[in-house]
Amino acid sequence: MSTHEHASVATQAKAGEHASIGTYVKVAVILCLLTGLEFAVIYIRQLTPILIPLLLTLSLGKFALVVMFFMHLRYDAKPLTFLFVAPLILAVGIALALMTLTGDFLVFKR
Amino acid sequence: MRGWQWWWEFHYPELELVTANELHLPAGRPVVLRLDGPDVIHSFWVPKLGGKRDVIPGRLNHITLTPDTPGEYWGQCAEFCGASHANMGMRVVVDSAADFDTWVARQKAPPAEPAGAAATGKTIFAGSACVGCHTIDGVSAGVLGPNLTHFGSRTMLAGGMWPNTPENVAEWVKDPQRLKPGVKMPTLGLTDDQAKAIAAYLSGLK
Amino acid sequence: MATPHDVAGAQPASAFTGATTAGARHPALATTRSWLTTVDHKRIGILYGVSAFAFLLLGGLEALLIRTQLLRPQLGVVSAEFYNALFTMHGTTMIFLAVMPLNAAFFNYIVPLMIGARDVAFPRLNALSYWIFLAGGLFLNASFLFGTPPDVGWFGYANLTTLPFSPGPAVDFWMLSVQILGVSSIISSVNFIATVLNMRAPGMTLMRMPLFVWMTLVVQFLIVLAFPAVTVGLIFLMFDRFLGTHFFDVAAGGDLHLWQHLFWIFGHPEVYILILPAFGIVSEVLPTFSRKPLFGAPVVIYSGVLIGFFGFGVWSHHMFAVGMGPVADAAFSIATMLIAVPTGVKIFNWLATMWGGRIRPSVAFHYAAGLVALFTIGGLSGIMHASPPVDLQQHDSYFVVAHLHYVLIGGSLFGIFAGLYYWWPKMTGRLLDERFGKLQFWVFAIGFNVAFFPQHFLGALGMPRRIYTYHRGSGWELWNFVSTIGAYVLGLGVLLFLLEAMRSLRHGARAPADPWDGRTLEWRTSSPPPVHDFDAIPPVYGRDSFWREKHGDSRGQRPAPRPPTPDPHGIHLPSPSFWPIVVASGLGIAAFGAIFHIGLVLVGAGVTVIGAFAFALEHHRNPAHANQVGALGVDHRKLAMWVFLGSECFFFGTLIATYMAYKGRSVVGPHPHEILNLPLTTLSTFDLLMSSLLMVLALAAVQRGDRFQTRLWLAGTVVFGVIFLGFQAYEFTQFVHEGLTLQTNLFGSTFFVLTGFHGGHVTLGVLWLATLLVLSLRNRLDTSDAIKVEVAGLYWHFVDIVWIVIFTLVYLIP
Repeated sequence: MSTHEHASVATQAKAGEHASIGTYVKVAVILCLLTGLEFAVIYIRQLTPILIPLLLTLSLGKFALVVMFFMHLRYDAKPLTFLFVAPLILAVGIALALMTLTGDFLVFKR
Repeated sequence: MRGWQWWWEFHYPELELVTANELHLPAGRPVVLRLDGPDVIHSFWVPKLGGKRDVIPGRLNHITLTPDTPGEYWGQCAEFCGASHANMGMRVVVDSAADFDTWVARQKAPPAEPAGAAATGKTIFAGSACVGCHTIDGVSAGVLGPNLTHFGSRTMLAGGMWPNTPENVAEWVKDPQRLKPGVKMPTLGLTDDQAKAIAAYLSGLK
Repeated sequence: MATPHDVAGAQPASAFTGATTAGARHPALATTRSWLTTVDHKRIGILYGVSAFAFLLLGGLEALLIRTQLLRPQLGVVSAEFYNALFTMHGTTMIFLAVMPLNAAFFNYIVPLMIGARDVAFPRLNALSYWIFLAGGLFLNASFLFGTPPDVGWFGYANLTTLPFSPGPAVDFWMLSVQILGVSSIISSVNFIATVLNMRAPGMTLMRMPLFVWMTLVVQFLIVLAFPAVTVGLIFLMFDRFLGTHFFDVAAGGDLHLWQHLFWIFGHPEVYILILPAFGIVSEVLPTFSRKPLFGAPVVIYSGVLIGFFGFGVWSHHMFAVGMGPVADAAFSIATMLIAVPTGVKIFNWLATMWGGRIRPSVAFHYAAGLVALFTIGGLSGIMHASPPVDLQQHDSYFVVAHLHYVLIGGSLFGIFAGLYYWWPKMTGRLLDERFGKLQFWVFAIGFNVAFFPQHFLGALGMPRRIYTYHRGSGWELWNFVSTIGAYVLGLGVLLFLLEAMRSLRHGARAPADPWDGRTLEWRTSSPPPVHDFDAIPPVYGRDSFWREKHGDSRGQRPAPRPPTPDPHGIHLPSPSFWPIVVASGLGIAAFGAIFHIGLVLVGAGVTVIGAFAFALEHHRNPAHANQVGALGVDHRKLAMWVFLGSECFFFGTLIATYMAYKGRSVVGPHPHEILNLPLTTLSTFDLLMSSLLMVLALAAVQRGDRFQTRLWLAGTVVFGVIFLGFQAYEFTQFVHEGLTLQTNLFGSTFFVLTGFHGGHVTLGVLWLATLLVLSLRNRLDTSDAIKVEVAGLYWHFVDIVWIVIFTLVYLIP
């Protein structure tokens, strides 16, 4: 078993090369909590006005956690981050444009 | 208007007029065409009158033309639409206000009763498969092909392919499959005389 | 100490590990078998070049038939249907089978040499790309043999391509071959990105790389990110044609704009893919023959990068006529005008390079200078198209045909010919005759201009594109006649090159290592290079490193000579392999099966899968392959996987965007809220998230050398993955029971394709991890293999995060 089990996530980020098993387990727990939250939030009527931004934020959080920790991007060489994030941003931008141009969506009404 | 493989259908809703392949417009007024696509993508383009606009099935596009000089203009489909894309031409006739009203009146009037060979032609027409696709007011109500009620008043034939003369009409009616690649109009096996009679009939529909 | 010019044929002192290729210095003498199994970047470059040139001739023949038909009005040289097939095949062939692979020939042969490497990052993958390309090209042209060549244009607009309007296999041939070619390109681009980033010789920083390498790098990113969009579009078309979905079914709510968007999101970057390599070649040729460094090299690099990046933002300028609305039209118009700026910058930099130089007007220089002039003309007509009001006249007319040929022939092909004349001595060890070359240049250039300049007039006179004939009295007769004459002269120009090339190969004068007094590293080794490229990895003194070595920098100061980089393990040559050709054949067989018989699809898929497994395991436990860390400090395989995941962002991004665009547009039910099972799917989401945890535990175990935990956690990940698939299978079956299938409505089509492809990715991941598990169980997976588990893990986690997005957008958001 790893010796760094009890180090917090934040200090682990500065420590250098590797996240510990403990960090991974913590991340996994957070992921479960976020998922549970997403599921629950749907049924809370008071949250309906902000439902979509809320869900998107929660998912973004899960996405970032998996990429940074499970995929190790936080601890890897900077060029790798750029290699993934730049296409990701471009893809999201194009997907949004595609939805807007084709769908009965967002900004443009025809 | 509706863009079909490979011809143009024009409706004038307020005037309650339907014609095909030849569009008459009054000079000096903006005209909005609603572009409807029942089959594949086409593109409405009359170069001397303006830019083009695609005719896209499932979408209602518009194009506004404001022709100022009376005259005859040629147009052509500008989006590849299959075998006879090259044969999807149209005539746009820009009339002075008076001439336009005259044209409208003639188009709304019922067609003259045919005589002689033309009458034979009408009988043949009314008795054959033609009626399944073409409309001639008072005779047939087919909607798959061009409205022929005042076919004789048009200058061109088969989507701008040939001048509208009785000889050309007879040839066309006899064997459209040979003349226009992929055309949906079947070759019905008419004899020369039958074709000539039909041509006389259609040419008389002014 | 190695001298600047490696002597051809000298045996290096260091030992060779791995197999050598027979007849390394005389490729033509080597056996057929060695060509079929080669993984040598130089040979693969030659394979690409020869195949592409053959396709260029075929595409040219198609063009001559087109022009002959249009020589006069109402000519009946070919039928309307065949004419439509001719322009479809001409476009598809020239773009995918001629220009792209000719560029690839240079990427393959020259880039490793220019960066001081001995090969690419993944030599067998390199061979695989070539054979898949060949399979795709042969498959496309097989359509002629069956009498059903595709006839819907190279851009295949829906709904003309859907079954009701194109029954029969013609469109299937086109659709499947473009998919296959896309696979080839994507694999190749991942390979080259890893190569350029990770295999540069010590001292070669990114900014010291030759311009051709920079343009190649940008092109690879364009390929890897743009192709997924057309892949998705073609998947939609395939599913519509083969499985009855409704993506392009107007009656069911399908939107024909969708095809055009997906196609042009690919199609516009594609034109930069076609031209940037030529820009790179010009950026090498002009300085060499002006005996001056490239003016403002960093600026030329940055503008190339900017063009690549902004190239993703202009695609709808191909759609100004479709009625997107004024806001969209204006946005794309402005973006298109902006992108002309970096291109213009390059033109000025090239002019400034030539200005004040001591010009040696070699044939390569002629072509490069010709490109500067002719691409400018093409660029000017392009800028006109950027304005929607103007474009609404020019679009789909011969004005565009003129524009595209000025940029593709005057640009890409002139660049390719410049590269051919420039690098011919290096690749073949022979010289092309310069005097004859100049004749060839003028015949080609004059023929080209006579063929295409008048087409601007034809467009202005209102002649539409893609028409098999025109009328007497249309006013188009004269310029069509002139254009056809020009086309024949152009064809003659190509033939002249072919003749001279063949003569040179047989009787040409022998070429020295450095015939042009070159500036870059490829001239530092023999012509042709030995199989191992360099006897010693060359030292890098800066940009134009070889020039500095020979002539010193701008002050004439020679750099202090550095000792050659030692090869600690001797020179390792990649071993030949026949698995690439096996895998490629499997794809070809499957493609035929898709058209003719489902059984063949299974056979082809089987061959591909088995071949892929054998390919992957071929060098497992090969100690020479254990450490593949490169210049970026990252293992090649890890780098490649991250690049691939960037591509997958586009793949899933477009799938998801389509789902969202079509949301609520189904004409009939069932609708999402009636049928989606949220609690169950939440459970399966938990399951997939936990599987990622198990995956990282497995990786940590492998890295520690803990065999038991490696097997435990790998098995756990596999089990959790299978559970997810079980959930999905249950869900799909339920939906079918409740009346939702692929064919029911838009929701069915988009839902099943999106989640189905995700499930397909999960399945592949499960198979991959199961393979690693089996290896571990057989004691064939230990610490040195940790990188393989890491790479598999990256894929697995990515599939997980895609699910996070799908779960939110499809299930959670109402």
